[in-house]
Amino acid sequence: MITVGHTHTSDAVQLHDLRKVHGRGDRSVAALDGVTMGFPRGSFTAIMGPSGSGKSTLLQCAAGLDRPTAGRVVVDGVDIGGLSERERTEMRRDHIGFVFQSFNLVESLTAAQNVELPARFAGRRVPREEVDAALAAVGLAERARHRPGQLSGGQQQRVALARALVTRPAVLFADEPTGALDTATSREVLETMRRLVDEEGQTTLMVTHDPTAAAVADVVVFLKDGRIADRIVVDSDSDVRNGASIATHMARLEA
Amino acid sequence: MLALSNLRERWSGFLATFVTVLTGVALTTATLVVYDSTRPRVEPRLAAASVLVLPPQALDPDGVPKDRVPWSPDEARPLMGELGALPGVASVVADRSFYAQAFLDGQPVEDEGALEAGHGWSSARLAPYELRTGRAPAAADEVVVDRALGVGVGATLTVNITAGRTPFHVVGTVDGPGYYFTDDFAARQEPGVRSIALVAGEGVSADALAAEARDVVGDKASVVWGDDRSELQPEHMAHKRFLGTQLIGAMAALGLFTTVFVVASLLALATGLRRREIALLRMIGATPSQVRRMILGEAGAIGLLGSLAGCAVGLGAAPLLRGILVGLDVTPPELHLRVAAWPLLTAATIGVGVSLLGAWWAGRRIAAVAPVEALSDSEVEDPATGRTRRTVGLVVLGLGVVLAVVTAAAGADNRVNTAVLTTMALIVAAALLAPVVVAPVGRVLTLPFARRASATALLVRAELRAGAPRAASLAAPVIVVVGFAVLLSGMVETMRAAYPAGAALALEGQVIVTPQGTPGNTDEVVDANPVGKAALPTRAFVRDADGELTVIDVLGSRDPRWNRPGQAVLGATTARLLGVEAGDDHEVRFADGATVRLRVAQVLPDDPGRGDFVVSRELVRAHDPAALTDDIFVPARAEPTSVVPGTAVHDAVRYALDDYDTDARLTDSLATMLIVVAVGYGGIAMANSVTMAARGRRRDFAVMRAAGATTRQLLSYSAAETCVVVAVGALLGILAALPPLAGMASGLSQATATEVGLQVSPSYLAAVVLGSLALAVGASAAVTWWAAARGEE
Repeated sequence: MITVGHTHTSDAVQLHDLRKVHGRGDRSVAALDGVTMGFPRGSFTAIMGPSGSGKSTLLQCAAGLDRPTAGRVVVDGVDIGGLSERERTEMRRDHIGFVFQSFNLVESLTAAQNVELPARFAGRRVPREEVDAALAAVGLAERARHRPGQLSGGQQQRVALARALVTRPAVLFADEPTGALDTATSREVLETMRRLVDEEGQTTLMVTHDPTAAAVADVVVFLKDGRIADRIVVDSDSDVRNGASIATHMARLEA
Repeated sequence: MLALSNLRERWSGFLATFVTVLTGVALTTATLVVYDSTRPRVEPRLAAASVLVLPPQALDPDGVPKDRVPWSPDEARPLMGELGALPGVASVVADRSFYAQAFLDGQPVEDEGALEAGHGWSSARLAPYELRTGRAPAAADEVVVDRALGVGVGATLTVNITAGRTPFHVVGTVDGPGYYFTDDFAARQEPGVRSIALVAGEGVSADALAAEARDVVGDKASVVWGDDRSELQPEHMAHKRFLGTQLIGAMAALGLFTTVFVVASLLALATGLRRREIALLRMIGATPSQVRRMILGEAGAIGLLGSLAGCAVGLGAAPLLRGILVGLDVTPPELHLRVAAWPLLTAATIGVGVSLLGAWWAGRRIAAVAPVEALSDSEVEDPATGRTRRTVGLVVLGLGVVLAVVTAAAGADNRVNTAVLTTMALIVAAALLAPVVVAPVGRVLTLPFARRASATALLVRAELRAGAPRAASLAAPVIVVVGFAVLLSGMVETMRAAYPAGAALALEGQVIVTPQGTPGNTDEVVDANPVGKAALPTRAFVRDADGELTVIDVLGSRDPRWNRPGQAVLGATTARLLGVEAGDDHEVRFADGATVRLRVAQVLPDDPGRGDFVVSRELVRAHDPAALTDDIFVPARAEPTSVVPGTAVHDAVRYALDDYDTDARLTDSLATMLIVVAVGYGGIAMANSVTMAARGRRRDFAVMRAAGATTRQLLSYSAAETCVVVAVGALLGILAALPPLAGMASGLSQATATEVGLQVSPSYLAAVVLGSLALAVGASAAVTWWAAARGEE
């Protein structure tokens, strides 16, 4: 299961004593203050925390979008700290999937074209069946020819999930994927993510401030002041699934 | 895939670039097609001259190859002998052209080419023009004329030649223009040989003959055949072509400059508005070079589409441009448009090249956008204006300042061109430095409103600070429009003030005998007006200080101060060019090929009224029998009582104004056309960028609406912002135009020896600025209103 404080070589992502300091001298703020964590393959982790707790910084460092001040990030067995800009781009393209709060898709391309875009950047063509299968897996098989403007917010997020899926990434990073959605479409997207973990074994790391969203994960990690403050294992049958106890934890942290 | 999809789906964002490229390519196509059509063609008179052998060229004082150095009869004779001995040659002709013009009913027959209408009889076989009636001329007082003149064999015809009106017996007629005298007579009229024509024998090809001729002459002469024979063209056509080429050249240069400038700033603006999209692409695995390729691909495709459309529009516009040029009388006669491939290919290449270049400049930094920007909620503008941009801006500014100084020192021929070049440099500098300037200047301009309670002033001032690069992109087309409008109109105004003033000053108290219907004053006219300045100009060849053979203007003067045999009076510049001082001897080669050793009697300060190299009138007449005398300046007290036909007598000041009006008509039309190009083109660019910027801000407007702004407030905000940006742009544009205008005024002051102030019409300036303002505010209001209306849905 999720390991805090130490890591296993089988983990899809490992963070070793990760530190990130913004600014300099007196004005410096430690966004991450020594985080060590491992994310096993096939696990679904939610990261929660109050504003400024460092959860977005954690995600950006883990995904190679931002360089940590100190510490190591290992994705799929590769230490990304030693990679050049180009190698990091290729790492993102081939081994990492992303879903953000909004603006996930290239407006001028159809859903299907958006799904195959990362492979195109890698100079590969994805067979039609694979694209269709990925869109079918998120329940959008019949929307392949639609453009983002013709899709609802939830559908757009599911296209982004399909895009992440088709490259078979070692890990999927999701930053507030339901932040811009209403409750019903939120559920749609969360259920899709859950299914991808269960059926495809997709390692997933999600940053959220919504307890209901966090409740679909296997484990919820709480960050405060750049450190791991707490973690809960979510039981599939317990009342934790409704998010009430997660909300209580959050409230305690913010107090 | 991505680039094309982007174009298909977001065409509105690329429309601006498309329109700009289209306009630029259309303009280039039209000018190139017309230019190509006006290129010299082989004179009909030389149609049967298979090969022309021409003497080598001398350099002009700037070191550019110019006039060919005529052979003396003694030099030409052996050459013609050798060429005539070639197996392929049927005949060799020393082709001579000199002034000849018939007088019918006491008045000169109108003929633009009169200066070169006289030929030796053997030249007639170069067309060939066969005798229709009569026979070839055999005596010095016999002539063969064009049948179209309507004078039959046996008649006596008055032909005006350098000596004056002379009676000739018409002994024959031909079906072609010109007056054909005996070859001896022709050789006396023009002793120097400017061209030896070879007629090929039966079955001998022109290129084979040219090769043979080349072997004979070696590097003593150039050998031309086929279309290259067009090099020998009549002077009056060459002059018109020069004027026309100047005009369309200026248009093409201005159009090209504006295209490059506007496309670069549009693409920079458009690309800047796509930071988030590009960050997303980077996030999902696009490398910077893939992003760059995408941007270049889009720009290339847009450039290609714009170029294709532009070529079509340009072809449609070419007859229009031709019409304008014909109306201005700056085209060779019977100009037919012909469409070759090269003007289209060149224009299209320019169109595609310009958009690729603009995209490269725009994409140079944006491609490396950090992927993490895709996560941020707002579209962040590029925070730094960039050290490169500032450095390049300062370098170009320095260049502009240097050019402004050069403008002041430039001669009359180059003054306008350097002024335009200076303005271009300063406009580019202003646009590059605009991000630095726009915020502080804008804040100063809005200072009076800062204390108001209105949200508009607050927003505008904040936006100027935060969005300086975008504001600068909006200001760029305004800088171009106002800069060029001020420069071109100021140029015309300044020249209008300078020239008549200078000319009238120099002519006070004189009357002027000018040719009327003839290209110059004959010796008959000079003899009839024995008092006053009557300069006889010729082109002569001298070794400059480096020993290079250089062609200069030499004036033969009858002014007793300078009319001294064996002596020359030099202007300081010419003396420096030749490396001589007063008292030195220097050799001068004249149009007849003879070389004369002259003593430099004096070196005086430059004075266009006197001339740069003045010798005695008799010397010029002896060595250039074909030369015609310039306007004769007669003191009013010696005003002639009778007027020689083919001349007119004018009051000096009236004459200066009339003379200027002819020039002014050309300059005015040139300026008007250029202003139309600059303002029209800039206007399109302005509307485009305002629209694009406003569309990129829909989200800001949504936020403001949510914060309680009414549509009216949004409109007033965007109008106010646009006003400030246009004001800053106009200010920069005026600043860019003033140094070259000041340089020009100072140059003109020296040239005309009068005080010439810098002239800019305030009403005109106001019209341009207000026009820009109306256009920009209108465009931004329309888009804002549209965005606001959509927001309400």
